[in-house]
Amino acid sequence: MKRRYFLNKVKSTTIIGLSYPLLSFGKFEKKLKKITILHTNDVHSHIDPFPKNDPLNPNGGGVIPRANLINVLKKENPNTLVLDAGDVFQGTPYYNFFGGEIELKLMSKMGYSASTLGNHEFDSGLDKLAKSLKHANFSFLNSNYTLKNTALENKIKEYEIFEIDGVKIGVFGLGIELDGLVEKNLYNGIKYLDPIEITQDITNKLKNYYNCDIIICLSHLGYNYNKKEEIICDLILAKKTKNIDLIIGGHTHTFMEKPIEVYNLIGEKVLINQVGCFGINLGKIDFYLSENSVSEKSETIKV
Amino acid sequence: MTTSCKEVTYIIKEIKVNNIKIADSLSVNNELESIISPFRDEIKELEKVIGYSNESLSIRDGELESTLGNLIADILIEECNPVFNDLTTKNIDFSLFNYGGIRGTMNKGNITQHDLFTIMPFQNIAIVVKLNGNKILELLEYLNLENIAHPISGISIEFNQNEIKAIINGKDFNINKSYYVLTSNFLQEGGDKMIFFKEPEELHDLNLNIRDVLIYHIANKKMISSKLDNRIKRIK
Repeated sequence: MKRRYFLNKVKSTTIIGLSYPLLSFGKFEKKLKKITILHTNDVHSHIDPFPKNDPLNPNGGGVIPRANLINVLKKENPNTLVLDAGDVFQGTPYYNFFGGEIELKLMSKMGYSASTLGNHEFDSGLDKLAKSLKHANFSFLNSNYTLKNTALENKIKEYEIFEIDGVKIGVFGLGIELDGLVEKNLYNGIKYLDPIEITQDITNKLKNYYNCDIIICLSHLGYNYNKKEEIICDLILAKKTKNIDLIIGGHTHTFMEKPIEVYNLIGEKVLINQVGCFGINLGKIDFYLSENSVSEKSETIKV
Repeated sequence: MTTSCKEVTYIIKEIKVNNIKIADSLSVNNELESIISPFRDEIKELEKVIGYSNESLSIRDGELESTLGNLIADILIEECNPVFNDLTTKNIDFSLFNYGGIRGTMNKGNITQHDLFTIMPFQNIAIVVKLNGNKILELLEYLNLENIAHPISGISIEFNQNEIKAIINGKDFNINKSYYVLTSNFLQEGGDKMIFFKEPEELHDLNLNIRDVLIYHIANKKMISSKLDNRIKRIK
């Protein structure tokens, strides 16, 4: 798996539903732990920086400047997770000619830990997408597409749990309804499931079964739609669910100067952040956490 | 073997955020460069200059129309109509493409094939459909609701408070008539919810890749220009 930090798929020995009331053992003030989340979305195969005469983003973006920035930030805080919210593919000839190989190889080198399936990941069809995934040493996460009996079966995880410096970070992915966005024959066999119901199930599992300390949703649903009918988007997802701490969004290419804070179903804060598109910006979110219980028991199992 | 039971949990105390702009195009990284350069070399041919644009053209520089959208919709009718005419002896009445299908800007100065891949990355094919008047009305109502600069050519549209006026090929839109509309296979199949394209009276696949048509046209004309001309507007 990843080299730079300790990463552990949670084992079945995790104690289920165990929680300590804050005050029962008294609370020790300890140094806060700092976990950094770096993120991109909708990079759309933009490998090289924009030219200097580009009217919108002169000299903007580029994989190499991004990689170097990530390296600097990881030196500042090695307890860092790099994530992406989908639409890695499609937008420059690199994708038309090489089908995603270079994008995924570079993301692997840059130390990405997870991405999610954007609608444009399907632009060359399921078989080619499935084949291209061998170039990624990180997971693509999606929990609301049924992938059974498709080329993607067993190649996509619903969620992944990363343990960094003792802090458990549960990450799951949500994809947009493909009907109307992708030609049918390119995603044959995939069914789209309601993101809100799936989110309730998954976050309940991540929070209460796996005891995740931070729950992050990689969402390609889009930030918001100014339409009369209600279309599921990150704003609605945040308000109608619970347990999510951070939604890293994509699809709508929304350049947010800073994340927006919304209150969820039970009045807790959820952050939504999205950094536009084409690898022009890198999102950086630092979580500072304190310990919520007194002692960590270790049990020794003889094998 | 020691298994650490997760009895320690952590509470988020504070969150700091900072979205950072990446604009250091001179940055060097030999390891990544060695991965990229073989791929870049393989598509070097695309950097050859095929034409020149007087201005920077974008899909976002108007309200319901755009300079780049107008250019693309105009070029596609101009180049596709002779092919369609050879096939059917008929002529295309107007064209409609989608805002979301145009992904980049055309910068002032030299135009390369690479630019066209960035502007139009999709492998879309030119399709002509024959639609009856009711479907055309659906199309106009769709544009009214969408309220974004979907590229059109050969038609001028005016949205008033309660009515939609359209002039197609120089004549007032007639709901009792059928029209030949140029679009892409993606939209014809209902992409971007353009469902009025789905069951046309006739469907003609021109078997032309839309990006190739644009490249061919620019390489022939050399000099490209476009402007906003109020072909679609809303009276407020």
